[in-house]
Amino acid sequence: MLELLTQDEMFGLQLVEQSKGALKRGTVYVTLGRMQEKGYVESRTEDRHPGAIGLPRRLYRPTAYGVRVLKAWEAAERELRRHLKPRHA
Amino acid sequence: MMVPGRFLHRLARLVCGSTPFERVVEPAIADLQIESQRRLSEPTLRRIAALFLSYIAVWKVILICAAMPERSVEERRALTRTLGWTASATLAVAVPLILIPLYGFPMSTLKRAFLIGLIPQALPLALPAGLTVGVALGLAGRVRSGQIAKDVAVLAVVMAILSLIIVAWWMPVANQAFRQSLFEATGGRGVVMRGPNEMGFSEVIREAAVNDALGNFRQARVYRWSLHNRLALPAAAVALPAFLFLMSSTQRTVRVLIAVGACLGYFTLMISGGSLAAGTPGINVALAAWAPNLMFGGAALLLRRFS
Repeated sequence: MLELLTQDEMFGLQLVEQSKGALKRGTVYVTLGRMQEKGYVESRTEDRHPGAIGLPRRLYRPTAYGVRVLKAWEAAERELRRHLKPRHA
Repeated sequence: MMVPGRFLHRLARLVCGSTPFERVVEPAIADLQIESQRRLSEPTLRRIAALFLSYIAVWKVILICAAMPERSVEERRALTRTLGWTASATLAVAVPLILIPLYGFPMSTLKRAFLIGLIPQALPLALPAGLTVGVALGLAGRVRSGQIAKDVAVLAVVMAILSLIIVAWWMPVANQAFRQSLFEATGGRGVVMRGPNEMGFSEVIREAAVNDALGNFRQARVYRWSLHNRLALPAAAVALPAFLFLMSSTQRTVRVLIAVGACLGYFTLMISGGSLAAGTPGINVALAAWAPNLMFGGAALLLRRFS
């Protein structure tokens, strides 16, 4: 989710669509809520034109801390892959 | 144009904490509303199928948020205190109820089995008393928010269900086992006859009908009283704490005195109601058994109305 959000600010529904099935509608909002609590992402309500109906949507983007967490996670993943790579004789 | 999700929005506001509602549920409903507008140009069946899945997703979000309520630090402390006091008070009431029946018997008869056999007859009385005192002490001078009210209500219902299971199945078997063991330990031989509290509900109903048919109306009333009393007693775990929860006094001593007084009043009414109902044909047995619950439950509703 952090990876997708670093590309652009997104709505929850957009995250689900961009993830190509990796994220589910039922859990993406709960996960975003938890990520907000932990400080990985922040959100704002969208700017709406007058006369818009329904509730205002929320746009999510990573915080600076969230970007650092993502970079640390990617570095750890690269390191793990390097160690797991089979060595050729 | 009809905007979907209005009912879900109102429901979620009732059952979810304010932060999860704002951060999690509202974005989910907002996306549902946008999606329904976007799909207006699609074929009807495809649109309905897609929106159905979206509704399922929003319901899932609401259920997850409702199951994980948000509590402030103060609410968590109040709940922890209430649980702690409830456990202590339940134990304080249960232990004498377990030991008193054994008073006067030689120490050699006080086997562990006797003590365990007496637990089920003590718990249906100890649980409502414990929760009542727990609510009185745990919430004295503290916030009684909507979330705390829900937590206390859930606790009361769980205790009521547990109490009902005990009086329906565990208590009759344990009572009879205790009586039989005590009879044999004091030199008795044979099988001790079972009373109404040592029978299951269906047996009690049958015995009442048999006694009615034989013209033993007093005995039939005793059986009916046992049945209704065993059904009404678990509800005390809801009626008594509700009454205490809505008491506005914040002083701990006053609340404890009211809690103890309410419990003693309840059990006095229960016992005197039983004596009256068994011996007086004009008194409705079911009403006599449920009278204490109706009284305290009614008082709780009045307190809520005028608070």
